[in-house]
Amino acid sequence: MISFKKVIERRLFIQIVKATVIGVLVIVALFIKARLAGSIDAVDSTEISILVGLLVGGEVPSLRAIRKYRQSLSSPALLEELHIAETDERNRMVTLKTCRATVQLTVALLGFGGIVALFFSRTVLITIGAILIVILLSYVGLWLYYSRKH
Amino acid sequence: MKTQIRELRKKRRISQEELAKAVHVTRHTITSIENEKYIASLPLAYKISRFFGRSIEEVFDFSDVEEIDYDIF
Repeated sequence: MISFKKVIERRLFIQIVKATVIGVLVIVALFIKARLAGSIDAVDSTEISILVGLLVGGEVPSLRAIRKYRQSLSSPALLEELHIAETDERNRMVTLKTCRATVQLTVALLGFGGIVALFFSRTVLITIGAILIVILLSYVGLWLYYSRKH
Repeated sequence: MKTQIRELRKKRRISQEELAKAVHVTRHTITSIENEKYIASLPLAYKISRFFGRSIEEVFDFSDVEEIDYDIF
């Protein structure tokens, strides 16, 4: 349990750093955009939307994780609950199956998209092909790594 | 896989939550094992059996082990 506490402390630190970096980057980007455009009102609303989206999408999960980890570190019972939830073998199996199904679905959809793109856009077709090749190479590489590890 | 977990638990008046905490898994895992939706790993089967003071064969029914339909997807 002590080692798990250290893992959670490390994760908490990483999340705090991540939330800070994302927040600072978005604010700096917004500041630069405002300076280049003359004022904040002159910045393109699409660019502001993207930056706000990045801020919310990056900060909200981090803040939730920070809250969860801080609560767990403040109470041994909550820490044990989190440890059980993370090491539970059924949860791990569900996660593995979900990841595998997601990858299979993604590859199938990309393949279907590639067939559709064949008739409309050569660029999209090449992009989808490149993504599929990267997924395939990652799969082969990781499969070799884990089959040697275990 | 059929098990005697529910019967042993009721005999001892232990809730799923208590058993789950004792063997360090979630209550959902115990529910799934009892409902034959999930097959416990060997270490977990050992922990559960040891908790009840029984052998693995007394708690878990291996008679239909050849017919277990492993989920391949």
